[in-house]
Amino acid sequence: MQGDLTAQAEAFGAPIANGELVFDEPWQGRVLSMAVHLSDRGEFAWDDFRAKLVDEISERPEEGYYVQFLRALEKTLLHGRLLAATEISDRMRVIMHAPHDHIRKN
Amino acid sequence: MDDIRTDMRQVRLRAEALESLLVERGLLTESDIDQVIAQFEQRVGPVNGAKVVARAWTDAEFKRRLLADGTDAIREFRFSGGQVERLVVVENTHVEHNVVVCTLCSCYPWALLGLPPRWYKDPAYRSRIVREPRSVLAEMGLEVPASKRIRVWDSSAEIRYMVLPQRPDGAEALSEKEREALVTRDAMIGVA
Repeated sequence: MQGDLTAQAEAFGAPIANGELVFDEPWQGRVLSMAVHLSDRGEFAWDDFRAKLVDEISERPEEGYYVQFLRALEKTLLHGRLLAATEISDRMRVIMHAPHDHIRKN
Repeated sequence: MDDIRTDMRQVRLRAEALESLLVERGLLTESDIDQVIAQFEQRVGPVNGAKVVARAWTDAEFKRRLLADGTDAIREFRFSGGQVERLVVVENTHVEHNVVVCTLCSCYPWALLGLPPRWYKDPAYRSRIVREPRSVLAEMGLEVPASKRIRVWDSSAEIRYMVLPQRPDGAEALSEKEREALVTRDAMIGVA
């Protein structure tokens, strides 16, 4: 998956420099890694995710690539019932109020 | 989800919420993510921090401003990445050595230093560097002379610390680029 991911991502407008994906902020690399890992272990089909990404890009062209990417990933997770919308918003609230803006992940 | 567009804090929070839930479900681990990420080159690196340090080594007025108010002083570099809420730069001298940690999690001035090294998040580093900094630094290859005081700075979501290493002898004769190349990530964390 990773081998052709750079080319795929470039085709969808991911920032590339010297043939490598570049991230402006760490969360961007992390969401990309989450998508790659979950699809590698068969939690969803990469093509399904990609279709959602294509939709996001055409529906919200003004957004940055990784914001579109995050939205597509979230939709894929909701669609596959891997996560529920309410638990995502609940967790955001918990993290926001945790010390250092972080909670310990197990 | 419609508020996602403008507020990058919300976006970061959302990404973190997803990761935390997925980890909890056993669908991935933090180290899975680290492994995938390691396969991609990062533009965010210690390059920005090195620029700041190299400048402070030769520009006394900039150094004065940097130590007085790091957040304000680095504004002119126009680095992307808004996570440096408040930057405090601490200066190594011949009598004092500084080292940075985040005892609670892994807060880190990533707009300047890129992604934190794996050991920075390690519970052993986070707890031991506070209790026995001299031994931990020695284990990491840095012998701090007994005559030097060691100060440990605990980062938080609001304040990020960066160490201004001492200027190596002869550095003033080098070009800006050559000076930048002398500045390492570990030196700016204070472990080298």
